[in-house]
Amino acid sequence: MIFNSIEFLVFSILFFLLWPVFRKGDNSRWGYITVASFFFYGWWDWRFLFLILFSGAVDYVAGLLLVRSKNYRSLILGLSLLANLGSLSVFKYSGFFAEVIQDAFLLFGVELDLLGRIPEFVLILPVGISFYTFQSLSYTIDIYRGRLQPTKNVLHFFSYLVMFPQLVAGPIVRASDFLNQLKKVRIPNALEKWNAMKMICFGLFQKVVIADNLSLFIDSAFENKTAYDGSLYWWFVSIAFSFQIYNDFSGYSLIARGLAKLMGYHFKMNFNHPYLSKSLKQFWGGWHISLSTWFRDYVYIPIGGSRSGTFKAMLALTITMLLSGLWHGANYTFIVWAGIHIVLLLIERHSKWNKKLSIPSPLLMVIIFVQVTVAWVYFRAINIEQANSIVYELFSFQASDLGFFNSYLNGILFLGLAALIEISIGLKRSYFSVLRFYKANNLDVLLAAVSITMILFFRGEGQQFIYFQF
Amino acid sequence: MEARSRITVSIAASLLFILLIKLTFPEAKNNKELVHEFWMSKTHSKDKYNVVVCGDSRVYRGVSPDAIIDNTDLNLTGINLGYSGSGFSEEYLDFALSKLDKNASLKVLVLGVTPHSLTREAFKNDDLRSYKEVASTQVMKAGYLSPILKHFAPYQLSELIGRRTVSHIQEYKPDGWVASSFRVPNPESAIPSYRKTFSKYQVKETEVDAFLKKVGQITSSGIHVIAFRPPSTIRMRALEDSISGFDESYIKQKLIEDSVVWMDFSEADFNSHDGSHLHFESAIKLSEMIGKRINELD
Repeated sequence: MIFNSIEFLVFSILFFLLWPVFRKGDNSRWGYITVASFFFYGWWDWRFLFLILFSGAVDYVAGLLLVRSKNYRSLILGLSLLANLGSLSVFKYSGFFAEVIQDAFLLFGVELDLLGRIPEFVLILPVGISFYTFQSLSYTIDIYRGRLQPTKNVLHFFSYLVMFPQLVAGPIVRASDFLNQLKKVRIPNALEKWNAMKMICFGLFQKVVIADNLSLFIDSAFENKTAYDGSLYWWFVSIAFSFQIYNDFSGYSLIARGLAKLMGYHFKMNFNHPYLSKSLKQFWGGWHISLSTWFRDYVYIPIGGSRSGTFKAMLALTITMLLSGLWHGANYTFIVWAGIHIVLLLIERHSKWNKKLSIPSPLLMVIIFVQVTVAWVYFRAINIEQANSIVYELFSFQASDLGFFNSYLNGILFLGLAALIEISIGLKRSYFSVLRFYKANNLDVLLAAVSITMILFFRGEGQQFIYFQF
Repeated sequence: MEARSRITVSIAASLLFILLIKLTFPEAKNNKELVHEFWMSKTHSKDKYNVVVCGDSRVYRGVSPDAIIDNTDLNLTGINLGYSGSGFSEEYLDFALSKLDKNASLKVLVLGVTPHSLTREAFKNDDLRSYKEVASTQVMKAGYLSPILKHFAPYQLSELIGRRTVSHIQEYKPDGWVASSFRVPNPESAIPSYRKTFSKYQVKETEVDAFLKKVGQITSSGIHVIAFRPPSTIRMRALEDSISGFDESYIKQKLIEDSVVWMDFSEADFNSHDGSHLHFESAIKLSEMIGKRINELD
């Protein structure tokens, strides 16, 4: 079930009604979280519960064995990695790998039909597999590195792995932090409840009001359902997608954090207004923070990081970004998306153009936003050819039929609203007087009320969260 | 302000805003959720009727069961069970029969037979299936929660600020009819898509025979069947006659042999806003004529 559904509303009301009863004892608390989360996940397709159970069981056992064994630690870790990455590869990448091999053989004139031989069920992507696999992996890796003691209680482990607010789309929480949180009973105070309510309201607002109202405009364009064309049109579509994906995913993360807070737990911030960044590096520090830091800690630093010379640092960045691209999806488009970021990050790191040139901050933000937006085209496009032709349109400055303003006025109004919100947050950050005005007038109370009203009456067409597909 | 007060004030303010919105703005129309609810209720309603109207979009836009019934002297109930691209497969006709009131003294099946409705593509009944094969929770939601949820149907911001971006006006009626029109009528607009459609598939004997056989079984079970070719435009009729493979005179003759009441309509008597579907005023006119014919049934 998804957060923006009646089913989830009923589920969460029942969950929080019974939570005070079950949270008292350790086993009842962990068991309650686990059972409720399995129910939440099984609502999509109960058969995929076996995959989480398998992945979790492997890492739970691996964790225990890692502290007991002295001679086979690498083997145990290897088996855990194989099981987790193996199931991820089978379900997420088998189709893509088959396509890559087919394409490679085709270069030599050999036609293969590997794709047709893959069993159909393997081509169904279990919701959130990339998220819980990474979460599970971090558990065994941290134990292997000696940074974490395994839990002996299987319910404790599974309540960490499958906790429903973050199960299908993050934030990716770390065992080293969250297993400890789960050991304690924390009853949220009034301020925490207020903050939780704000997070849920603003998260839902981002998702159902902003992201969902932009979807028709964007989907019509990328699915070739409209005759509109030209540079201005595609700039609007691309910028709209930048705001859609941000609000969609940031909205999910905020709701997840709010739900956890209501339970007495704390998830770290997953988005920090990345479109207000003055560098691409800063953008990545504010976008999907839990994934960026996961890749930093488990890929980038172990393969050299930035302290092993220029070439190794470039190589580490390239590998990390390419893996991040592949994590998002099994398609060439995601690799190109990652490639664009690699090139731009390397240029930025070595030329430091954003610091050397005295560009005013607002203009710098616009330049970074444009870079990110052009890269997003590859992220959203159906294939490379489509993305290339859109990017050509963007920079060929061809005239557009302005009729799209009228046809998609609703989406364009919400695009304006999304931009306005980010600008106002930028002003709040830059000018203390704006922040003071905001606090003195209790604007958060007004904004929460406006959000609730808009969620009810100005929600767009109900859509899945975009990141569920990853 | 204390945190607890903030929660209370924000909820109170939300209620105030909700009240203001409901008092200020008219009911939201034609949003996707209400449209989905319209199709779900048509498909999953347990109600039974005297008159069931079947066919594709020309039928669900072109026939109003309420207008039919208003033109009979009988106390009847009716539903339009038309779906996009529907074909008269056995599955579809059985579904229509399941909506007829078995205990009623008068049971009438009204069939709007378009060329497309007798193609193999239409026989898949994809649109109907998309509503029939939904999760039971979706059915429950449509059945029990829709009376509450409809009060929270979302508005289009663009409509509220006075800009009408929708050129196709559609009103979804409780009797299953969709009253339709264009802000600027264009009786030529549907021609290219129909030309494309019939270049891909035509009416074939297999589907026609299956349809005739099923209708024969229905009439022999004591159910009245009224059939007609839904009017569109003269140009559309000519196009369909030339490229669809639809042999109206053969189908008409076979149906009449099976005790079906066949009604002939002239395109000249009706207006189509897009070249395929009837403008809502013409739909009422057509429905009234069907109602009068039902009144004459034995």
